[in-house]
Order: sequence, then C-alpha cells, then structure tokens
Amino acid sequence: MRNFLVEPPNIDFLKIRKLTYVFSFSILILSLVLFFTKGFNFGLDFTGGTSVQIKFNQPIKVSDIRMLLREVNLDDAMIQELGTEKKEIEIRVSVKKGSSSVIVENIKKALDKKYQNQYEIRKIEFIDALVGSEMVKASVYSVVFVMLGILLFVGYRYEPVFALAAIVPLFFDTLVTLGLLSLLGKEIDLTVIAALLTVLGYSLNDKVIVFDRIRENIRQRGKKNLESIINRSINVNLGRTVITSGTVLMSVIAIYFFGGESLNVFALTLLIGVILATYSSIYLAAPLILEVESLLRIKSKKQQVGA
Amino acid sequence: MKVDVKIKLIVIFLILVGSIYLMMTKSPKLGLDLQGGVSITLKVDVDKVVKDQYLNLAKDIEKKLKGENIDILSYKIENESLKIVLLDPTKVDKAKEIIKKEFPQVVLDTFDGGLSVKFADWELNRIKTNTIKQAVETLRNRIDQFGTLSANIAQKGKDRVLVEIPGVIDIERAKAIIGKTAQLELKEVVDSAFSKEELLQKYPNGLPDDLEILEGQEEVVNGQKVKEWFLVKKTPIITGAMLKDARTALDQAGNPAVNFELTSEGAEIFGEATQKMIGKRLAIVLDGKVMSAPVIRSRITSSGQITGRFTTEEANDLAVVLRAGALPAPVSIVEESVVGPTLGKESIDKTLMAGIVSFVLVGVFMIFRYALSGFIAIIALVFNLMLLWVTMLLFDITLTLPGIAGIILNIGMGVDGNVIIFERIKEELHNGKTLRVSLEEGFKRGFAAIFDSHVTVIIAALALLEFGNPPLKGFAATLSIGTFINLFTAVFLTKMLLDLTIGGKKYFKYAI
Repeated sequence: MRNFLVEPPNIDFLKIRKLTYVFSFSILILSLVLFFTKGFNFGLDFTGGTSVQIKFNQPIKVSDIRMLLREVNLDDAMIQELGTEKKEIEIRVSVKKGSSSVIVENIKKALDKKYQNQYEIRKIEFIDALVGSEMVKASVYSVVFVMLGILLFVGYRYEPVFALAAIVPLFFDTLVTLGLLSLLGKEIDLTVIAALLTVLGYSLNDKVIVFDRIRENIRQRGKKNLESIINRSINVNLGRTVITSGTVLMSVIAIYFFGGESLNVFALTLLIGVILATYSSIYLAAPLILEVESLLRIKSKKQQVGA
Repeated sequence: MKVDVKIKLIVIFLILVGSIYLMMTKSPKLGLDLQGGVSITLKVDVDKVVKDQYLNLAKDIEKKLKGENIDILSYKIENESLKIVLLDPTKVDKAKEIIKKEFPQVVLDTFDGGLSVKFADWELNRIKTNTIKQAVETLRNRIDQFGTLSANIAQKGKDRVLVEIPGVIDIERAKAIIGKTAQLELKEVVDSAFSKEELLQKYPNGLPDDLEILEGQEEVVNGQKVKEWFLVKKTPIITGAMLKDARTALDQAGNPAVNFELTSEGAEIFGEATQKMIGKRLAIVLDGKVMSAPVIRSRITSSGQITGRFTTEEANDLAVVLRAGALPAPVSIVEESVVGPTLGKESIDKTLMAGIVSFVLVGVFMIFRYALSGFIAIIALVFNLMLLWVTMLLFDITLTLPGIAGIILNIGMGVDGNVIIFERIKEELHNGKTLRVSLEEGFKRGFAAIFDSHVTVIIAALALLEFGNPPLKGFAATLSIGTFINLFTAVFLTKMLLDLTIGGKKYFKYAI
C-alpha cells in the first residue's frame, strides 16, 4: 500500500475515450434535464423570505407545529427538522407574508399555546426578494468570472489548447454537481455557491498536475506521439490524482459528518464536486487535449493545402 | 550545519515564538454567526434623494431665469431628468445659455419649447455617495447614543448600509432605532377632516402643487376609532436639521412625550412663522405622518413638543434618533440575521470536532504513506494553520462559520503540494535515482504545478467577495490566505526540514 501506484500502471485511458465522452455527455444532458424538470430547491438566500430556527426542550412532532402555525395563518410555512434529536426545527415563510417582525411575533404566539417557555429561538433570517434575485445574479457572475479567470491564466501559463481542454471539464463538473444537488433535492444557498467555486478552483488543480506532466513530456519528446504521451502522463500521475483528491475528501467528509447542519450541503457539494473533478481530469481534460490538438492540425493542414 | 540554514532556523524559531505569543494574548474577531448578534442590511432610497435634488434644482433654475425675464410654464421630473417648458418658446436658447453658465453640474438638451436638464454623472455619483456616507454617519451617531453597543457600521455595495451589533439585544428595538428615518417636519395646516375624500372634494381640479395631504394618528374618541387627515403646505417651516436638542418629557396628560429645542437660526424662522400663524394649526410631522397638530396660540421660538401615544421607551428612542439626526433618505431593511449565542457556540464545538477529525485522518495517512517526509509535511501543515491564524489576528479578519470550514479545507488541500512533490520523489527513487537527487528533482519539478494550482484556488476564493456577504467573506479569507501561506510551508519549509533530517543521507528506509 505504501507504494501503491508508484510503479505506474499501464492503463489505456484514451482507448475508451469515445465511451467516456458519451457517458460524460449523457450525465451532463441528464443534469440539464433535471434543471428544467425538477429544478432546484433554492434556499432563503435566493428566494427571499423569513427563516426562524427554534430549539425545543423536548422532542416534538412537526405535525403539531404545523397545526399550531395554521392558527396564526401561517399554513404555507415550510417546516424542516434539523439534526436527529427531533428537538430543532426551521420554519420558513415566504416574503409575501410580511416583515420578519410580524412573522416572528406570530410564530411565538402560536408556539406559546403549547410550548410556552419550552423553546428558544436560535436564529432569525430575513432576506428581501430583491436581495435574493441579486444573489442569483452575483452567483452566476462569480462562476463566469472564475471560469474566465482560469481560462486566461491557463492560456497564459500553458498553451491555449490546454486552456480549452481545461474549461470544458469545468463546465462538466459544475453542471453535473448542480444536477446531483437537484436530484437529491438539496437546498441551494450561498455556501453551496462557495463550494462550487472552490470545486472550480480545485478541479483545475487536478488538471494542471496532469497538464504539467504532459507539457514536460512534450518538451522532451515533441508532439508526435501525443496519444501515448497523454496516456503515459495520466498513468504516471494517477497516484497523485487519487491521493490529492483523497486528502481533500478527508477534510470534506469530516465537515460533512461533524461540521453541523449549516455546513452539510456545503460539504456535500464539495464531496460530489471533488469526485467529479477527479473523474473529469482523467477522462475529459487530458483526452480533450488530443482532440483539440488534432482539430487544430486538420485545420492547419487544410490551410497549407489551400495555399 | 551551514550558516544560512542556521539563520533560517532562527527565523523560523522567532516566527514560532512570536506566533505563539500572539495566539495566547489575542483571540480572533468572531463573526455574528459564531458569537451571536444582529446583522441588518438597510437599503437607502438614494433615488428619492436624487428626485429631491431635482426639485431643488428646478426651484433654483426658476429663480435664476426669472431674474433674466424668462418665465417657466411648468416643469416635471421624468426619466431621471428635469423637463422644463418655457412660457415663451423662443427663449429656449437663451435659457440654455444661462443654465449652462450658472449650473455646471448639469447636462442640457433642448426640445421643442423647452429644456431637458440632467445631472452630470459625476454630480449624480456625488449625491449618491454623500447620501450613503451621511446615512452611515447618522446610524453611527444613533448607535453611539446607546453607548453599550459596539456596532460595526459600513457601506455595502452602492446603496446599502450594513449594521452589525454583536451580543444579545432587543431586536425589535434595534430595528426601530436603526430603521427609522426620523425626519421631523413642522408644516402649516391649511385644512383638516376625518377622511381624505372630504379634503379632496374642495379641489375638483386637483390639489395645488404646493399642498399635500398627510395622514394623522388613529385615536379612539367615544369608543370609536377615528383618524384625522391634514391638508398641509408641502414646504416645511422647520425640519429636523434645525434641531438643537431633543429629550423625553411628559405631556399635559402625563404621558411620555418628546420635547425639542431649535437652533438659533431655527428659532428665528419659527418665531416669524408662528407669529403669522396665530390661531392656525401646526402639523408636527414625523416620517410623513402627522403626530399632532396643535393650534398656535402665540409666537413660539425655540421649543416644541411631540406627543403621540408613546411608551416611555419609545419616547426615549425617538429623542435619541432626533438628536442623532434624520437619515438623508428613507431606508428599508432588506436583509436581517439574528443569531442566538447558543447556536454560535454549538457551531464552534462542532466545527472544532470536524477540524480534529480531518487533521487526524490526513495526518495518519501522510505518515503512513510518506513516513518521515509525511511527518514533516504535517509539521509544515501545522505551521500553515498557525500562520493563517496569526494573519487573521494581525489583520483583524473576522472568523465566520464558513471561514472555519475554509480552515478545515486547508488541512486537506494544504498537503496536496506535499503529495505532488513526494510522489515525484517516489517516482524518481523508483527510477533508480539516489535519495539526494530524487529530493531535488521532486521539489524542482513540483513547484510549477503547485504554484499554478494555488493561483486557481485563490482566483475562485476572490470571486466570493462579489457577494458582500460577511460569512462568505470569512470563507474567502481563510481559503485564500491559507492557500497563499501554503505555497511557502508546503514547499520551502518542507524542503528545509527534509534537508536537515535526511538531506545528507544516502539511504534511509523511512525517508519517504
């Protein structure tokens, strides 16, 4: 184990690249389909509204709370259990129901009927609908900003070919991660966007390591036998790719299991993202260099013929 | 041992001692999500201020043009510009000339029979920036008046103000103090009635431009709820800007009220106006609502009283906000977050656990896979985390819950650099190179890839600042600072420590 993968395996990753392209493309399309059919469970940050987090002294039933809330005209409030003790809940009310002061007042009135002095309001959050839509915009901008930044940086440090081959998998990582979050019905809030951006930066990490080796090998041997160079580079780096992802996953899993309710989806997003990033480094980014390269070669040949 | 290695060791030792000293004497600034408190984002209605400024501009232009014998037929504010129609359309060019000369802050355009006046971009910017600055200043004044609170007030984005108050406080009261525009106006009452319609009936052609209808307070008379409506002159006699002082008092019936005193300039104006108004009513208007409308019995100069059905606390708070001054424009709460102290404490405990688990997992793995080198990488990681912590202390960076998550991520991501280098070393060793050569190769070739990968993570972290959201800022801070420091700890520090321990050896079984 200590030297697992130090002796590089000899797997022909590129051989099955048509298959993995189809696979990647399919789950990408599936994700997009999910976006439009199932959609997202957007959190307060994006929808706006009021959220009240309450902890009770003893375990309670959500149905009881729902009944109490109905009496103060909050029947469409969303109630979610937090943690496993059944003592803590989050109540979410849409923006239309008024200011947080009114809503908190009503919730208190409702709960006092049955649980007077047996609960504690731990958190209140109110986001105006306007701010919510601004956050959606800011999220999209930031993702685009990061992608562009990465594209420029890689294009500058490496060849433009590498930049192109890097950006496609980044789209893949982001969109499929979002697709899975949609499938699982997880709540998308700002921490998820933070996790997505981190995945973007990290995913590139993974690719850069392989790219760096490919570049090194091209310098030594030229671009002639690009396919075997890329294959060799992936194989030699396989240990690195797996281990670096592995250590990050150790942190992510620790946050997922121990970090508490509010970091849960954040950690899950990172978990999915890092795994996808590892996959896309091997099966998308590296093979794509070959594709882009051969596309360019055909073009330049045509130009030569034309001249 | 070479001399420069000795110097490096001494430097590292000094950094270590300094860091430990700092960590023992100072604790990090905790975000409201960790220590509990209230965070409120207010949107300042800057558009209204711009509109008001256009109205003032219109009056100034009218005055100036009148002096040059050009009369204005009408003006209105439309599409963020002032449209002026002249009585004599042939004088448009002359009017344009005059305005151009006298009002350098505007951009002019003509249309048939009139002019369209717009503030220049720099003037608009100036108005908006000033408004926000003034709002921040006023809010700071108000909160300072309460003394006990150590609030953080800052501009956020173009038209927002963020107010953060740590600790447990009465939220509703805080909101009342912060969110009240507190614009006091004293206006002459022209007419009053118990319904809006009644007032409007007397003006079948619509209200004259200089009058407006304001709502009064609801009162219970003989068991029935009634509300008086007031027709008042738009231009106030006195505004809150002419207040010298405001303090709580009792009204004639013994209910809490607020007494105010005017500045000498205000007193002069007020005296003159009330002299002419004897027998008429004066509306005391707070934030567009008539609080009371007493009849003026004699000339009043410097003081007055605001009554309403206040509790003692409300009267007290009103006096405070009046003393601190009105906000330059109406504000509305667009974001609000209240976190109780127990939740924050719980978050800290949980994330601490997550951090320990993460550190142990990564540590065990690194030592298992890379033996002594792995151990050294962990020492470098500890340095990484320590320096991150110290940087936060030195620059007073707020630690938030996502910020802690960023620190934990630093554990797993921080060793990546080491993994890349160590795997390379293993590869070189495997290819039959000596320990010494493999070490050099590993570090030399690893650096470029590590540098590139660190830059991309920092790009991603910086994009998070776009949101202006304090918890996320905390994440961006720990992630980017940690990654930056990691470039030194994972590469240079590890290399140095490895040189010291196994650098001279030709072979050592547990080197890596």
